[in-house]
Amino acid sequence: MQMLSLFGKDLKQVLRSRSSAIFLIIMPLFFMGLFGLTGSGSSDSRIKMGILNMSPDSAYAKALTKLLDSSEALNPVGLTTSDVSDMVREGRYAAVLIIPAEFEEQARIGKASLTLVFEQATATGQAVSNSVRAASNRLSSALLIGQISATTLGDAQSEELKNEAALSAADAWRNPPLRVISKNEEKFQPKGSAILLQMAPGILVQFAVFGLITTASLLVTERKDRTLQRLLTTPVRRSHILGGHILAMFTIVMVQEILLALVGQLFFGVDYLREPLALLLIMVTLALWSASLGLLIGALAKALEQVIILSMAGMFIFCIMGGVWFSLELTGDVFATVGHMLPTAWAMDGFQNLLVRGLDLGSVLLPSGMLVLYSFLFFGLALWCFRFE
Amino acid sequence: MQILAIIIKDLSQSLRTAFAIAMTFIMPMLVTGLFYFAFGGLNKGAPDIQATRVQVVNLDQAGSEVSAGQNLVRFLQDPSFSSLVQLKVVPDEKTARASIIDKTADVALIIPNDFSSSILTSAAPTSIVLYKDPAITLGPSIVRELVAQYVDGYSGVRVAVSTVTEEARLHNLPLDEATLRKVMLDYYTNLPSLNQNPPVNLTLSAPAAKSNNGEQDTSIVGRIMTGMLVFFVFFTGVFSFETIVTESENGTLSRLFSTPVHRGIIFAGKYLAALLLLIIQVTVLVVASTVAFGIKWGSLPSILLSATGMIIAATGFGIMLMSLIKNSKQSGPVVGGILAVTGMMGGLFFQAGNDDSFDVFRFLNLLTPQGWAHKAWKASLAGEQFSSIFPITLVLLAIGLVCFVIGTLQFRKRFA
Repeated sequence: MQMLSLFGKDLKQVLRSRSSAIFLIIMPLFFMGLFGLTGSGSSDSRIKMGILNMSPDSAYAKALTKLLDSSEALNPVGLTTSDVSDMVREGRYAAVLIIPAEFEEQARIGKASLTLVFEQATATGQAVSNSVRAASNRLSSALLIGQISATTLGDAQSEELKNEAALSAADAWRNPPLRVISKNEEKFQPKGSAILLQMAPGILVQFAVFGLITTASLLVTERKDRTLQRLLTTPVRRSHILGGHILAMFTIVMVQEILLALVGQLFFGVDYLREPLALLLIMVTLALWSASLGLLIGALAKALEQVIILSMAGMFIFCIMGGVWFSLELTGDVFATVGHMLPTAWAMDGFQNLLVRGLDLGSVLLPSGMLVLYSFLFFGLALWCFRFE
Repeated sequence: MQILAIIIKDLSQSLRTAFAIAMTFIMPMLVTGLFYFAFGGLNKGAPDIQATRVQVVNLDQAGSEVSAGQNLVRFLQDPSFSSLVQLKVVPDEKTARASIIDKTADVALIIPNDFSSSILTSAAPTSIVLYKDPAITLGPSIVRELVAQYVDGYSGVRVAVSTVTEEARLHNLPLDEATLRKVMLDYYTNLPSLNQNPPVNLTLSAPAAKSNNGEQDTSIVGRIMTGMLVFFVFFTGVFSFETIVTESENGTLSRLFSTPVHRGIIFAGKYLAALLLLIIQVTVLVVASTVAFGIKWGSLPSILLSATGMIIAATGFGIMLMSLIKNSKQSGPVVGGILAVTGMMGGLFFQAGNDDSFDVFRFLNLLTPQGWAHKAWKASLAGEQFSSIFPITLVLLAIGLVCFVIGTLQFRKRFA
């Protein structure tokens, strides 16, 4: 009963405060909306690249453009402006391929050159360069085939035959006899935009940590205005005091998670409700861990500023290292291994199993179990810190 | 002298608290450090990524001549790919695909039973199928490119044969089996030189540097640090004016107003203290990130121009925001919320993708002072010249001035 009274008091305090509305509701919804609007706009999942063709009448340039068009990964767009570096730097195009004015003549003598401008340090840039290289290699192969055709058919000097055969080979390369087809494993059924499927649970996990600024500060305020000390002199047990706080934090994070999931489901097509029970399990265990972390922050921080520092540091460390802001597969071995030990990485695993992989309840059991373990660990640490209160 | 006393008091007050030190210097370096740790390898130009775990099934029923499936497996087992691919040969498709479901592999590669025969005959096209985990993108795309590159070698033979056959038919030229075998042999013989010295040479280039010496920073860490620098400079810029609100609450400001010190001097002192704090912050962060992460911030004039514009805009924005805050209780959440939202809109936390749907986001970037400051720093990192950054700085100065005037008028009204 005492625990419930404390829980009710915390909830009232949070609901009355404007800052709660900002940190717990408005900010996550704003972020969700922004990502939703930007991430779900296009139905074409191919990478947009520009082609600056300075040799528009060249048959070989046209053949190359067709080869790029037939790529599964690329969405080539013709450009007329020459300010390609700025376009790539600003991210309007993942890369720009420059076909020089003398491309036709160069190709005819087997010494053609192309320039691909792209950001080499990004995964998208690497993917584009691989696909463009594949297309340019196919054109090289077509030129060789043109040469072989002319030699074989007894007219090695015939430029006309050589070019005709090369262009015919380039055309054949658009539909090669041996292909590599990339598919998602059939058991995995993702639905929705790839960006949103990574970002939507990411925002949910991030704000489960960031929102602690509000809830963890309640404990610090109690300590600061001596309410906590006064409470400790009453017959109320420490465990009830902590229980009341953790219950309030848990409830608040749960409400926030439900709200974000509903917005994602209703407005941005993220299929959270595909496996409601599994979703509930991962959300409950995430809220439990988040509440334990909040309690620990409340136990460690002596001032409101410290709550902000610890919550922000926690958010940065847990989100960056736990693969909330970007997938851990893009990082090095050590980073990924360390990162995957964090509770946020397990939470992301659980959400990705449901949303990206389209799996069922069984797939969230391990992530949820790990989150429960982490909840006990953080709760234990918080209790230990409170011993000195 | 009075103004100096106010500056020293405000500055020492800011630099004495752990909160200010953490938010001014430690947080931006911490975040950038984490990204440096994550993407350090990519930053140096040698990708430091995890090897993709591949389970391959070779169902190819090769005849006596070529075992293309076996050759492909050997190709993927080449030690030069060991940092990219961790290969395991399994007997059947079911085992390989099950390994993706139980997460013991990232990719299952199925080599079809007609792989070799389809190279040697003009049979229908065949495909190697690569099954992947949809939550993993980079590893499967690397494996796909490797396999496609290898398979294209064989496809080229078929394309060569079909092209020569078609040309012979078009020109009514005789063609026999032996000639076609020679075409295949010719193509195979030329394949190594085709790979080493292709007739179409692709040059890979970073976006051109705008500096005279060609120097620029294209690293991920540079980009992250720019965002963090702008975010935390605006954070400090806004919170350094919190003293006006707190001193007003605890009565210190009223006491100061009752002294012969002119109000203008008090506010000027506070403004200069904030300005000085931001100069220290930017200097420390730029120098520290250069030393720790090797970020090339650009030429000195570009750095000075970007820093000046950002600091003026941040202080102006700070005065304006604080003038709208009623009390110190309100300042934390409201200002924190506004800074996070405007920082997000300004593109400080993630870069817009190349999808058209990101055009809205690119437009939103420039509705915030943070977006303009970010633009200036990105230009400096790209090695842009003084003349290119100057117009951006002018916009920042104008934003700073407008915000300053609004904030000052608000405070004048409040303390009238």
